[in-house]
Amino acid sequence: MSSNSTEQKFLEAFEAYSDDLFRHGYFRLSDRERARDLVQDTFMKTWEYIRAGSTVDAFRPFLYRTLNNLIIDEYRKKKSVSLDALLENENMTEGVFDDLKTGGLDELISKLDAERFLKELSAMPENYRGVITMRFIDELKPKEIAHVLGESENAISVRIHRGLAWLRKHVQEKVV
Amino acid sequence: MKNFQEQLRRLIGTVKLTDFERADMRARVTEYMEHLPLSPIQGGMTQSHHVLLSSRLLVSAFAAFVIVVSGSVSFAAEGSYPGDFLYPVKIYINEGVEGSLSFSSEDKLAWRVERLERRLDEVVTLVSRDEYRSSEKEAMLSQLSAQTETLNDTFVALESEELPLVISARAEAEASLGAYQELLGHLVADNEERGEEDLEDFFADMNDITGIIHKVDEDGHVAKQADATLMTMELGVELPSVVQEGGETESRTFEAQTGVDVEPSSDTYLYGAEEGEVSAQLARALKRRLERVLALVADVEGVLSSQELQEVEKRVESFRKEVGHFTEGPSSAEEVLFRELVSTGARLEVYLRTISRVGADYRGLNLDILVPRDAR
Repeated sequence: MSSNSTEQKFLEAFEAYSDDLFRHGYFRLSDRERARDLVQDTFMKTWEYIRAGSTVDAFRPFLYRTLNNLIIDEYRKKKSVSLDALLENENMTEGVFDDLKTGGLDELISKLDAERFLKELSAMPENYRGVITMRFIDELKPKEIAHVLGESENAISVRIHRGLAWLRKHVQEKVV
Repeated sequence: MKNFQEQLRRLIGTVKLTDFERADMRARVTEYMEHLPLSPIQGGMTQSHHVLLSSRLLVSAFAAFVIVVSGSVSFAAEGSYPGDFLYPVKIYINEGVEGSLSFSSEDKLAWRVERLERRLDEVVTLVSRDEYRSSEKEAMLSQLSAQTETLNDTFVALESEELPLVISARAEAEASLGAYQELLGHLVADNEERGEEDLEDFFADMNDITGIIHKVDEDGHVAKQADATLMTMELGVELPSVVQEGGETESRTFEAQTGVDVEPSSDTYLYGAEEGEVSAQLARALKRRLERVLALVADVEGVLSSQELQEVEKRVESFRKEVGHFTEGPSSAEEVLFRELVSTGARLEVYLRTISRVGADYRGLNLDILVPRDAR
């Protein structure tokens, strides 16, 4: 790839995805300024990666992955939460795939509107917030999320399920 | 389900970068790309240069088009300030085009110093005219911060290959920033005397801005390298690696200053080959400063009183004579004198530039800025 086309593609990726990445960062961090900074860092780190001689085949998943890593670092700076401790606190068990069927989601969203969903999302534990944001805000498919996060599709589906279960529980608690 | 998704899309669609934020981010990212260009291996040296040249020609062609089609907008934007409608045109289009026309490292460095000075100039001018708006604080701070970081990055990126240039640019930037900082100090004191409202915020803003000014070269390794190079010019002290051996370098610099434990030798200059170049660069920097000062004197003739103008001309003349002394550039023994002179030039330039911009409303300023703080 010539340097011209590399630079051009990189700048095209900036134009195409900066808003999407900012939106993703915003809903993950609930902090506009920080989201903006991290998106900028995402592009700079991606450029450093290219400059080091590596190739980026598909910018979108690569940028999401870089931003996701930066967001995780951001959370680590604040606190560290283990998944087990989280599950224990939330009194949750491993989910089953049947619950992932559209029926479960339909039931959930009949109880909340989009505005409420976004509000609850900001209170969601980070482990779920990432995948739920990718699934419903960025509208990535589980397979794409798996690619971005470098995990298996099954693991992602389970986490989305857990996120929805957390959401359902919180909505129900508030309704009751 | 469909309604929910549509509702969600509508809501999240409102969360996006503003045009200003996107343009600002794009500018920072492209500047970063410029500082860290792809290596020749990634595109081939010839091709890479050809491409850069082509892109610059394209930018120039675009600039020409913009000038023909909307020359008046571009021209009007030059006189705009933070908060003005045309300000983004000034900093992203006009300055973007100007920056893309800087080809050599020397031009790039000079341009980056100038860009930072322009931002400081805007703050000083607005405060002098009593047109400073707290609402623009964030945007101004963000611009100052961006230019400061860009300048720092450029210093670091170029110091290993273009040390003489970095030393002279740093001397210029340091003197300018010092002069602007002093001027801001005068303006803050002046505002305090007038007992204006909102002073607390004003002070906080000014502190933030001067804090950012201090960020230039805050790690000091360019400064150490520059100082050590100047000091060892004549003494012939071996200086293996200023940056990598910070502590040792400081001790060597001390030795160089005091003459303790120093064995002069004829072939141990690390920068021996560059010595003349550093000296010549510094002399050129002073001459550039003098040229700018002389150009500005004409601008303030109609604004200053005859007594003030006389005083300014006296100082400019003295500056001109001193600069003449440095036709070959300073030697290490003259370093202190040289630094004082650079500082004098910066004070003169910043004072004259501000007066020429603010015009008849300049009364918030006075000639104190022309006197070094220690001498008052």
